[in-house]
Amino acid sequence: MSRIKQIQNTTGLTLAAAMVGAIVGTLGAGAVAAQEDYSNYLFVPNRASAEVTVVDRTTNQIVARIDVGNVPHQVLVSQVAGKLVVSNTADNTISIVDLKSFRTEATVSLGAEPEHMALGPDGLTVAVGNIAAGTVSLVSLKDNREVARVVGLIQPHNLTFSLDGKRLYVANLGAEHVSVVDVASAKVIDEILVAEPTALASRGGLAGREYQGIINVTPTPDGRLGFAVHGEGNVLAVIDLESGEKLKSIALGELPWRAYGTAKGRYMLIPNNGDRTVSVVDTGRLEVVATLPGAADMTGVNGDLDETAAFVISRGESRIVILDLETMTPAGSIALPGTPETAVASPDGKSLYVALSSTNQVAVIDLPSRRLSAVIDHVGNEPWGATLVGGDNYCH
Amino acid sequence: MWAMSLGAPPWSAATTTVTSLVVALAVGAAPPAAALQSVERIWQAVMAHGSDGDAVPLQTLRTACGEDPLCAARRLVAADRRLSLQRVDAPTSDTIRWVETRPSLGPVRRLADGRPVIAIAGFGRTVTAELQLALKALGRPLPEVILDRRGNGGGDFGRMLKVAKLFVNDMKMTLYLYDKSMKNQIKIQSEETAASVDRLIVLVGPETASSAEVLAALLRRYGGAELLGARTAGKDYLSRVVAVDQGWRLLVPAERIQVPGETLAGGLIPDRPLPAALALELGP
Repeated sequence: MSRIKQIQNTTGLTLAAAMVGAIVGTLGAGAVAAQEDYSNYLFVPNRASAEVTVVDRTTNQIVARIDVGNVPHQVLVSQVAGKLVVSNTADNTISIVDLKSFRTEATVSLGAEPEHMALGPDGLTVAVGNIAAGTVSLVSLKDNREVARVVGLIQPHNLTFSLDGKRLYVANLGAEHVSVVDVASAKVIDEILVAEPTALASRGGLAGREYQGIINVTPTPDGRLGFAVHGEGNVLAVIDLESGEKLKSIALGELPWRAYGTAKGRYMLIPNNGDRTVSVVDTGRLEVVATLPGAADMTGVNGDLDETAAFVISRGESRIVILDLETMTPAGSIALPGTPETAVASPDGKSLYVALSSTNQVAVIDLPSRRLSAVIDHVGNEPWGATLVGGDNYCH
Repeated sequence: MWAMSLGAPPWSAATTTVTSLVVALAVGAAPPAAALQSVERIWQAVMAHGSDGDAVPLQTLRTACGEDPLCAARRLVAADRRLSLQRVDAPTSDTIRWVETRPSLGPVRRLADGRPVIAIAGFGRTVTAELQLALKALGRPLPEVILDRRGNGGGDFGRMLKVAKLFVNDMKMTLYLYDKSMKNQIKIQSEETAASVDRLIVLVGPETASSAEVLAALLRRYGGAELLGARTAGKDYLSRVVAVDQGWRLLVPAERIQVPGETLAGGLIPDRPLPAALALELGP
């Protein structure tokens, strides 16, 4: 099923596509060496070329291309299972790839348009949101099958497991509430209201309405609190993830996207795409402590390990906006050679990998010096994100 | 559907609770909540925002529908014909991520005498940014701007208010939202960057409805705009949009809108008709 393209003995940072093809042609699937250390690999789903590219971070070289389904949206890695999971949105499937061989060992049919995924704390349960079906699939990596399908969601977007794995918090993009799923019974057991129903004064009803509800429930590192932003409501709800109670509502800027936590959980940063600002929420005081300038079409935020700086991805302006979290002031920006999607910082805090969809590259940012240090070319067509084992991975 | 019948009263004389507008969302600690299911959530929203008491009791809904939210919504609509159900499609991946956004403005054009005309077709998520860009491109000073709102059927209320703020300098606009029991006053602080326009003309007509009418009224009342054209549609109330399930939304008529000094019910009456020469040059 899977066509594996293993690339070896390449030197230099840039690989010509023709060279890649030639090397691939000489290697059969059986030539793949076992891969034991997954933490060294960067996984990049390429939306327009139906493949996941594997990059060796020590050399910034592409070491494999794994064919998957059409429009791969997100990848996640289970170290426990030794598997890579890829959501193939256009095919209504996920691919489950053995990390040792980079072979696809199963393609599992799910609901309509699976996009976002979350890995349970057991490392063996994957929740997949079927955004066009209003369902969430629970998939076991033990035997590579869908074990249950949860109904009653409304355009399920990102998913968040509780620390004990018993509950799943589903961000409903098409609604004003977060759904709480009991994983054991695969049923919605609670709905937590984040915002009021939106106000509409229209002769034509809902025709042509672009609606942005809840993108994500972002937990604090201790798993105690969840932060759910409602786009149309311009509001952030702080949720006690143990009790399911909404503790507080916090007003934000216009059309906020979602909350991104800093490394130790001191702050939540929320890009407001409507007014191009970034709200900084102190998770102890539960209030906005700064509203800083952002940029157009912000799709992600990454931070450094000591919580002194944030790096805001601006797709609309092809740059990274740097925010100083000590002084709560802007601290410059980093120009990018293409259109950024999302990024992931290395667990050591030294590098930031940014998928550039318009140029088929991954930009490597040296975080200490805050400079573009390298560009990895030809990663695939329309790279949509970047994932690292141990990284603070997210998807837009 | 009654919601499409312009001017129909959104509620009877009965009263229940006060609601808050999304732009004036209450901020603060919330009381503990018991587990909530879809049917109850929908029922609560209808009770809070629109029903005058003749909706189906919650227990009846549960008995009839179990936990089927669409069944519950249909029963609520059957019991109160002012509610309406509408179908929605899931957004595309690119729409979600702002790769594709429906534009709210048409191209800015200039009349033969040089006056700029900005057509605001809707209140999409980028409407204020589009307007700011358009006004910036026109430069300053701006002796006269014509806003063409003749075909605008309204839309998101909060975004409409932000558009209003772009044109009104140095004063607070006020409008009132009447729910079933009391008046909710909203003060709208103008943007610091409000466009400085010496003369603002707003074109209206029978297709100008809801948020578009309110905007015209706000600009006349607080921005000194002159309204040209024909009487507007006269849809003077908000609906709350309640998510039912993946494919359906329940529209619940909620607050009635009032702009001081203006009469929205029955349609705004413009200051004068659209001059024939201008109508000819603008086209339909």
